[in-house]
Amino acid sequence: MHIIFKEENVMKKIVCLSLLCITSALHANVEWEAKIRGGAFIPRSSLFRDIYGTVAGNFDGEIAGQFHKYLQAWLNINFALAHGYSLGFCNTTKLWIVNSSLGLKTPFDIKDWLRVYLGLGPTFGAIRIKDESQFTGCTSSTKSSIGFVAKSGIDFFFCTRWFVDIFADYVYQKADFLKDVNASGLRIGAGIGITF
Amino acid sequence: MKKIIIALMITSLIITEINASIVPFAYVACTGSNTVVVINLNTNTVVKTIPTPFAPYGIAITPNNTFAYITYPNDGAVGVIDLTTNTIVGSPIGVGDTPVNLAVTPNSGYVIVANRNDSTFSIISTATQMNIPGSPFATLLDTPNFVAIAPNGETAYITNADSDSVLPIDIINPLMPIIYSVITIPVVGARMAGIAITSNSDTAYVVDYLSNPSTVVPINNLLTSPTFGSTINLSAGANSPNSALALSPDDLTAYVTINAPSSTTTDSVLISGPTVTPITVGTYPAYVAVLPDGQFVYVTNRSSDTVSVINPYNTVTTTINLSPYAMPQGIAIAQLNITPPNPPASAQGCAMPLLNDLTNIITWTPPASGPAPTAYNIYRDALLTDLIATISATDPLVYEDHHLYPNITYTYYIVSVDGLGVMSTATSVTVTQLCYPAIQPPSSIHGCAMQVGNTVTNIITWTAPASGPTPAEYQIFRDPYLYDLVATVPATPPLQYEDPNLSPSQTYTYYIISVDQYGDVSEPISITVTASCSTPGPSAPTNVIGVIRNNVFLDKTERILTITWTASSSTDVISYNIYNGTTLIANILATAPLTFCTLLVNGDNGQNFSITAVDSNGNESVHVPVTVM
Repeated sequence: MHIIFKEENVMKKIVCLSLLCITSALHANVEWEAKIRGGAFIPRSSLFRDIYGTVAGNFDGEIAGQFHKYLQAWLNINFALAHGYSLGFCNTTKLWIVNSSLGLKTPFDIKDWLRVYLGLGPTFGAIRIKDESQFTGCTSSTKSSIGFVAKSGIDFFFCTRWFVDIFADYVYQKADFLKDVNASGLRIGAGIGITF
Repeated sequence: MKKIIIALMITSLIITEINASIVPFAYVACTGSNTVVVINLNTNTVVKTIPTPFAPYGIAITPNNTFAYITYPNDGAVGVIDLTTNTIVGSPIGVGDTPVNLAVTPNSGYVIVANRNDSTFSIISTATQMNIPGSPFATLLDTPNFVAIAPNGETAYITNADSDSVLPIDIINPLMPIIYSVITIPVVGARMAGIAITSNSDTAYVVDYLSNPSTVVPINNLLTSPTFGSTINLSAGANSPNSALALSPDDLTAYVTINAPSSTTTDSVLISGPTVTPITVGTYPAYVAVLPDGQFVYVTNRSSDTVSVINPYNTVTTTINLSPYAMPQGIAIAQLNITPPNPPASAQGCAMPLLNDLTNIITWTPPASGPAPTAYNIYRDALLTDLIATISATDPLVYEDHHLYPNITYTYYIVSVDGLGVMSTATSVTVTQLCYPAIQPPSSIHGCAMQVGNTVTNIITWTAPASGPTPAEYQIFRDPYLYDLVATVPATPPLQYEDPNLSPSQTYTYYIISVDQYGDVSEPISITVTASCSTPGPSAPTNVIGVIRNNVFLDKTERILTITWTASSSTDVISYNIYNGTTLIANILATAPLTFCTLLVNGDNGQNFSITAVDSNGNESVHVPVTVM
């Protein structure tokens, strides 16, 4: 947690800077882009993988504004869903993660039709777990937590405004339930976007 | 009509008079604490204290028991106490310098005060509570000391503390006192202290305190021409002008205090002997007073802060502690007409057989009429000598008498007590019934020994009482005196106790009592375990194994005990009961898989689980503990 707090200080600066950039972009002649993406969430925790499997479904939507040649500010809403079984007695359990994040990323135009980017930003997420124990019945609980996300990806422009985004993001996220839950992991996938 | 009303009033007065009784009280001037202490002489207890504005010293009470007069030597004044209210009334009455001792005329009309340091005496009218005209009056005495007034009321006598004389004063008309010539004691160097006059007014006894030993000097023929009897030597020398003297009502015995700081003696002087009997009282005995019926003599002990009570056999029967009220000096006795309170209107009692504490609970109700009691005394005897409790009337009217002996019938006597310690007659109550219906012991008990390895487990079972209150629990003891409690078992089935790890070579006896919700207990029922357990039920399951496994979720981990067993060899087994301790938690059909899973909480290690087989008649096998792997 101590590390998270240190990161939070950095994140606060990024949030402020991102908000400043987005606010500035709204009043300036900036290029906007929006995209929706789908893919897989690969949890880092082995316990997570043992219970819910190595891959979970992951979906998000993102909007970004380029207010500088090498800087974009972005805002992302992410949703992940997993279904699994308890270890030992194979009782059903479900997990939902809803994450919102924002931050800054740096696009580099390699070609007219090819762009890569790297980004970093804080996240605020909610983790909901529903356990159906044969001994204690069906219980569910929700916890929220703050983390961060590191983003990377390649955009292929196949039309003037349309592009395909292939991405790999790493999200760091933990929450305190009856025991600590590590919901960190890698999100990989692809999406389609438009600039305007 | 008027006659009827008058008749009723007279009848009422008569009834009131009949109900009232004469109660003796002692009024003690405590110089060291500016108080007058009131003692009820029927109970020899301090019942009231009256604060005084100055340090009181001598005290005298009017024969009609209306007022008490107290001297304030350091302030040259006399105070008045109204005996109907026991309060100081009016302002202090100024008299001469250092008034010490005083006396009241037999008709209660006047108080004569000896003023020690200005050679005067004062006369106060009890009607006006003022000095009569001309008071104080000069005397020929160096140091007026004690005052005595002849019972015929015609003459007062004042002793001289610094000389060998006694001054007679004609008080036939107290408003015009006539001072006679002094009576000079024919003892060289005599100094006069306490004095008393016989009931025929013809003889005075006066203390010569300076002789060693001190003496009592009889002065005869006071009504004609005084003569002197033989002096009577006391047991010691007082060397103090404050040695007091009092006569018994029959004039046969004089009581004299040996007033010295280290003295603990008051002499009883049988005048006809003369025989002197020293009586050991408290330290520094000061003043003495005799009850009008002569039954008891009271001596104040200045340094002990006590009053010694002496019976006619010259024995101190009681010492009344006045502390924290200090330096008791003058003492006088009043006989007040008191209407005692009525006894409690009713009283009830019942017994509660608490464990190791048989307790009687006594309740009562206040008297329906008469003076309101301030307290209630509870005695164990009809003579009211064995006081066991005093309960304030403002507290709940309940008394609990603990740690009683069984099989004894107790009777209690409750009396009402008013603020002056005056007691009513007693209301008695005999405790013959229990406070609640008696709880019964278990109606039956069984026990058997089960060999477990090298030890024995005794299994005790019993059935609930057939009648009476429902037990809340059962207590199991190993001794008939019910001290060695080995278990408390709730009154919910199964009514069973297992005593493990016992020696196979020893025989054990158990005593079980029923306990109700109030803590009442029954008589014990006992069993000595001699038989081995061979239950009428089926044979027990075998290979009863427990395994603890985790049920791991991402957010929590549950600890699960999985029990498996081999079926009972009996053919009529229909199910298996799973117990956690003595609590039945599951019943598994014999046709189902012989396994059972249960959640373990709070660090439970599964060691308390056991399993029994149940046959078609409902009989259970012995418990087989789960062996947790």
